[in-house]
Amino acid sequence: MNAASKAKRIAWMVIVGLLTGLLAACGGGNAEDGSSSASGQPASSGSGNDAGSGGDGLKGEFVLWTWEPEHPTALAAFNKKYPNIKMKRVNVAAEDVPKKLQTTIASGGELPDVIRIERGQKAKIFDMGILEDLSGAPYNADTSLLFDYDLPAFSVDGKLLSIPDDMSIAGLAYIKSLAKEYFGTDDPKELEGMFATWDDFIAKGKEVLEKSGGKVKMVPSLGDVNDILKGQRPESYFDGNKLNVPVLENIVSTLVKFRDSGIVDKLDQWTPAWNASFGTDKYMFIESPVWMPQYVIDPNDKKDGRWALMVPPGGGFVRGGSSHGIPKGAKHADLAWKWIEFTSMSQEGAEAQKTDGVFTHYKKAYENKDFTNWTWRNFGDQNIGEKYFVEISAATKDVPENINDTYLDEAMSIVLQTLSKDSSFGTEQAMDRIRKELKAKAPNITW
Amino acid sequence: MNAALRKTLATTAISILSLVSLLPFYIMIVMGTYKNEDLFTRIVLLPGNYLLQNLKTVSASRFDLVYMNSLIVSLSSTALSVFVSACAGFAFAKHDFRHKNKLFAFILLTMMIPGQLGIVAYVIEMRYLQLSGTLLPLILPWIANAFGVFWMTQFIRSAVPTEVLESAKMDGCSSVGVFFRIVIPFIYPAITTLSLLVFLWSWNNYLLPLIIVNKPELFTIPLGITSLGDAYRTDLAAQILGLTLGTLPVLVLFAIGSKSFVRGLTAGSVKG
Repeated sequence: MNAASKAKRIAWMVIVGLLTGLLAACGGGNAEDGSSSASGQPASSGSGNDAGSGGDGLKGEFVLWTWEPEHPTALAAFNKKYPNIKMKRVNVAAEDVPKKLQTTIASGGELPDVIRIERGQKAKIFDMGILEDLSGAPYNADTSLLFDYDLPAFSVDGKLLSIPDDMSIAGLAYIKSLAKEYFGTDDPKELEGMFATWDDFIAKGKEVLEKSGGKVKMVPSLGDVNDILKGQRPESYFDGNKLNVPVLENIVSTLVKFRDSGIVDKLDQWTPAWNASFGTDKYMFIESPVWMPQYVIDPNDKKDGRWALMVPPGGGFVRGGSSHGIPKGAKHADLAWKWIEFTSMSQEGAEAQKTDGVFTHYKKAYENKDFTNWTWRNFGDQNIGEKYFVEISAATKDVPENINDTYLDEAMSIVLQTLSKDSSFGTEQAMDRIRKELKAKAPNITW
Repeated sequence: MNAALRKTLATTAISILSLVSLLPFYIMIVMGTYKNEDLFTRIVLLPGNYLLQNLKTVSASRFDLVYMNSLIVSLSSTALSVFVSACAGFAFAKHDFRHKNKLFAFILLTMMIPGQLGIVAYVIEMRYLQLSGTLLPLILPWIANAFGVFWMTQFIRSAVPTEVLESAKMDGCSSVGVFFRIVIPFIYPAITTLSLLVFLWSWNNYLLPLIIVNKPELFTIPLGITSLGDAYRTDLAAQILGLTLGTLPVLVLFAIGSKSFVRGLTAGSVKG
């Protein structure tokens, strides 16, 4: 009896000991959140635009919120130039960045020194009003280093809120054998001449549909068409809370025209079927941002040299891409700025990032033919770098967006589903549906 | 004959249901053995040959550390939550004190309020207590587990005879002694059930770690899994392998405690 009681007591002591051990292990870090990044340097002193001036005695660690894996070559090059500046990555999924930011601000928590901002979340984050103006002191970003179309896209009220990192201009990729079979040529220049407008594209698409007996369509998803048309829109969808109805209506009616022509299939983007379609001969064209060959076409199409790239009817557009912004009150804004400046606004950074598979927006780098020279196995020996960074880039424009674009995107994704599957759903119904969705999501939007 | 037919039909139905339930698990395991891009081309039913590479991707993301963090958080949360809930349940079920009913009603009331509402205040509280840079903020909410208190109160009320407690007291046992020596053995099924539930909730918790954790070395499994990929290429195969690895402890715990878990859930369903 006594022995049993003793055993029980020992068992309880072990349990309490284990629990204490576990809890002790919980307190692994420093007590104050983020204090591990403290460097003893004065906060946000800023050091101006001197990317080329060496280490500058800057020392410490800055915190980056990102979902991207490290760009090893770029980081190594940065560390070589600034050996005393360390970067601490905190992984936050792209779609979670606004939520985490909001809570951190609401709770008075410590913000990171730099945030990676995905294009889809950009308007929401810009709308929070928490980012520094990088064109002003102490950063004084030299905006002439970036492309002209970058400034409206990354500015709000004349303030440059983030610096674009990866290039995301987009063209139109096509399967050469299909183009040759149905148009008699697979030469990008000849096709660009053939497709001066989207109406030409639709008319030719109908011919392909007829000749192939419905087996070959021009594009796999209406979502792809929407991405292109939206990217090419001549003006912003919103001026403050006022919706630019003619611009939207024009796009919706063009989408209906595409749908009714039968040249677009009903696949949903980013589904297994959509991905698998790149290895087939069912669809001739696909929108192709800079990241598309490497990350989407390549993994899904095992054969080499099947594709070519052209300037789309109506010119290039921007699809996706990310930028970096510095939150107001960031403790190590000066260190973070050095990193942005090096990776996105310098020749050394552009070259290092290219090795990591990232093309930056540092305009000057593209003046060098060797830099723009870029081929990819799916595109054979076509110099797609020159196509993207010289021809498409010259024909690309971008427009500012605000928080309302986020609501419109959500409404459009619902409308696109219906448009794609229900052939009786026309422009009027689509506009009505958008109006209802926007009213529910953002009642302050005016038409 | 009729009974045999019925048995065959029942067996067939159960087999089909089991297959439907288990197939997603099987596919999850199999998908973790394929290259990400191969997942999109067809439905995969047989194991692929990319397991080692996916394991490499997963381990490159310091998954061992992430795993350990999740184990620390979930085991501590479970132990503390069950202990406090059992203590509180014992008090509510077998003791009389002032404002007992009001207090119990208040605890029930807190169950009606979504946890998300208090999250900002909780983050502020943790910052004020200088606990933000630790794993403790992920553990502490489970200690004040209203559902656990409710669960234990109901179970102790119905499963622990008051006469036994009174006998123990008459034999000179203290309240603490009664709790550990008499009550605990009576409520093993409830302890197992609550342990499994709290472990599962804590293990799968995404929002709180997302909001509160700012150091990669404190990441738990749900956060760790989202980091497997990049802007344009979400490595679903590696993520699924991570999920498979992340599901293992839950499966093991359920396998160990399934009998008690079911007993705990069905306790009180028949008035004896």
